[in-house]
Amino acid sequence: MKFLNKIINADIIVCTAFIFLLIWALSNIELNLDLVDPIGKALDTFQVTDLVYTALRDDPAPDKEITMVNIGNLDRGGIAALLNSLNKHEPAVVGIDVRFFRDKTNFYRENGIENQDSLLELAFANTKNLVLATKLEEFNETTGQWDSLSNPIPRFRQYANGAFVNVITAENDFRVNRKITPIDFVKDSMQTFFPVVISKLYSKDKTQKFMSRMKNQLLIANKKNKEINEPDEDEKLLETIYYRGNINNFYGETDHFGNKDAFNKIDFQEGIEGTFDPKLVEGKICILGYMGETIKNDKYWDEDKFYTPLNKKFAGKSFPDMYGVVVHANIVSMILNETYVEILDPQINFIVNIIICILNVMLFAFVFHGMKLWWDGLSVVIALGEMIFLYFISLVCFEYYRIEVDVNYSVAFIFLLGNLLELYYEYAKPGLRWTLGKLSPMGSYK
Amino acid sequence: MQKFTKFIKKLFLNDYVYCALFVFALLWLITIIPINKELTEPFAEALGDFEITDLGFTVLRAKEDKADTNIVIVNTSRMGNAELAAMINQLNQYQPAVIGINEVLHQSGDYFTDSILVSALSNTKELVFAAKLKDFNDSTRQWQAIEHSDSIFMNFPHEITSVRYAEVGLENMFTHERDFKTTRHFYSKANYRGEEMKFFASELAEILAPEKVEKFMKRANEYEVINYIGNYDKFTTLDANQVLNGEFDPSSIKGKIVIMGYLGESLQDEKFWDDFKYYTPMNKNYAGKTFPDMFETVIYANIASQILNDDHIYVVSDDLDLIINIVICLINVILFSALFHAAAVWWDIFSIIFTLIEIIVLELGTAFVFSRYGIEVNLNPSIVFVLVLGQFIELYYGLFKVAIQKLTVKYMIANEAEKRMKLKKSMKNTSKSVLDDLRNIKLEVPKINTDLNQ
Repeated sequence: MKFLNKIINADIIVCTAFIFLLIWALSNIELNLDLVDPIGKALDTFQVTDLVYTALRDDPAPDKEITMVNIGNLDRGGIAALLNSLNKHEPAVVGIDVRFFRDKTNFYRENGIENQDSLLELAFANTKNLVLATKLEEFNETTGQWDSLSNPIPRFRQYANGAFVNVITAENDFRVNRKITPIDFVKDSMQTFFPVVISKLYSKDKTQKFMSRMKNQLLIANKKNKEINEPDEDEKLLETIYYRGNINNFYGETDHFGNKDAFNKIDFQEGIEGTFDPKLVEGKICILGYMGETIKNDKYWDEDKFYTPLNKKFAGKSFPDMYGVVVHANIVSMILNETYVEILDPQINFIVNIIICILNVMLFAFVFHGMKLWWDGLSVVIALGEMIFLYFISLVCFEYYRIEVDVNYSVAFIFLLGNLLELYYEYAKPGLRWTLGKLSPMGSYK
Repeated sequence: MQKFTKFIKKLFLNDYVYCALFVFALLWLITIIPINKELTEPFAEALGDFEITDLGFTVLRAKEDKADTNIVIVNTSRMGNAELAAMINQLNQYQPAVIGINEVLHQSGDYFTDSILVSALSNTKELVFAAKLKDFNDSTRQWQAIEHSDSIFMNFPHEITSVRYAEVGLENMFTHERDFKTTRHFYSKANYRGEEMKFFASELAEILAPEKVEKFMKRANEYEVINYIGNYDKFTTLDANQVLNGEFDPSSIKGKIVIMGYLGESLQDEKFWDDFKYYTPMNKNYAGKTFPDMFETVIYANIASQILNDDHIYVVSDDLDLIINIVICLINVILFSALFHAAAVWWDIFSIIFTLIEIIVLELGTAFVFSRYGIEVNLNPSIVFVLVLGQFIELYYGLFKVAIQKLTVKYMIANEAEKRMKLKKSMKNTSKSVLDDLRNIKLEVPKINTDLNQ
């Protein structure tokens, strides 16, 4: 007890508060170093946990329950033929990430082409558990909801479940695709994300479990009942994607012909000709979408590709690495395998950070007072060692337990601690004593 | 002589030099730590692709450079051979000095169409085709293969031999299509199986100003730094339809270099990604994720402009670079050491501010010298040195030197103690032996004759 009292004393608390105050003041200084900060720019989209995906973890086993089907540049007639071919082998669920928002009957009539919409309608009618893409349109900042929903044309929609395909990262955006909104709202009507609907049709239990993770169901209800008019950014129902892998990746972690693809795959040609292994379709989830002109085409850039944490070139210039439809497959796989990413509750994260900071103030104060001669050198070594250790811990948490721990605050604190602690003991503390002494009615303060 | 020796000793055997050596040694140690390459390589590549001189283009002179009206860029879009022929015929009416074709032309299979194109090409006064060299042999320093247009377009039939053969210019740059690297250099000449070839843009410039090209070739550099003046807005640029419909000012063509090449479907409908687009130092986002910013043809226009205007970059030699960097590093060690001793408790704050200011000054200074005087000096080592110097100085004075001093004192004390011990021991031994000697001394008392009778 005596020992505890000795190390946790008012001095340590005041010192910690002083350092927090200084860091807060420093963080409020607006410095625009954008023009001369290449390191900051190069690492703009980088997160420490990306290292787990790109360098540390062993590739997870492929998810054989999901089959990716590339539609290439097929027209509606081609997609109908492909679908008919797949349907012969009774897939469990078919999700098509294509926007069928326009009725093309007139176009076919004017150009004297056979009405492909009818062929596609027929194919849809024969498909069990079909999910078609919808799109949330025009986000309303004031209500925090979307104003409208683009749907497949009614003749298609009648045979399908609709699910929105919007991802948080827009096309032509350089942000890395990390998070999703499993549900969203269009004028109070709740819409569900494309991979969530696919998962639900395949395994209701697993999807239920996933949905119950939503921050709190009350919030969903509240949103629905319009009780929350101005949703806070933090209250958005976000989930972090845990990526299993890619297919046909330009960066080489999977090859065209090897077994390293994270999912089964069928190209449109083999799909239409029926030359694929039927086991890839029987009872499986088939997700159809554009994955290049052919699936073996490793075009290194494409308008439909996104940046993901799997990108081997996580810093600086790089090409996007994953087709949008493969991102959906990763989400389905995450839901069905329950490989969610847990994010440490912000409050717990805050408390952990505070504890780390206080412990560090104690350690540094001990070195400052007890080993004065070595202080300058030791403070640098300890700070460096601790920063590396904290990042190491966050990597271990993510790799083995899929827990995202934000240690950035602690790292920033430790980086500045040595300098600020010296300031406190040499100037702030004597200054504080002097001021309190002046204010004290006793005339002196100890 | 004594004074000089003293000066040299003072210069090289002082704390600052030891401190600099300590910082260099630590930096070297960091580079040899065995770390998973997949962890570190992307960082190294990202930073390696950045050059401070890029700031010269993006920050200092982006708006300063004037347009070059001697060069006209024509977008060939995805036009077929017939349309290409029509475009060339249209341009030829206004007598360009030379037409450069940055396309690999293939026969369409339609004899009539191809003949029209051959005819259009043969009516061109001066014509330069771009060709791509392939398979570089490192040992012979020669290229082994070449990709160029079909020979029907390059070796004209006999009935129209009045027109000179088309020149083939080399179009290779350092960057490959799949590279993320920024295009900064071009080969000034190349050896294709023993035959010396000039760069595409040099061939074009030679027709307009041969003396400038001669001067350029005298520089005899294997490769040159591209001194960009800007994207296609810095040149007269025409879209395919504008040329076909004659919607351009004829005076903009007469006597000018016309470079025909792909600049997207149309100038208005520019894609973010394109196979023919490259990253250049003009890219506003100079270090992070970004779209490539310049079509290949526009890069060639920039190079042609650089040659025509004698606007070349002087690259400081590696030796001079090394000396400049060592001097900067030593000056910084002296400055930071002085600050460390003088600033006391304020050292940490001052060192951070000082580091920040100095890095900005070094970055902008390099960029300024590059953009204003066309001199490229590599101060990256100095910047890395300054970046870590504050912390390393603390390690040197606060840990390394203290440890050395402690060890030295300990050694001296131990040495002194040993000496004393030896002395004591020897003294003891001496005194003992003296005593023994004394003890052993037998006093020989002289015999005294006691015989009284004698």
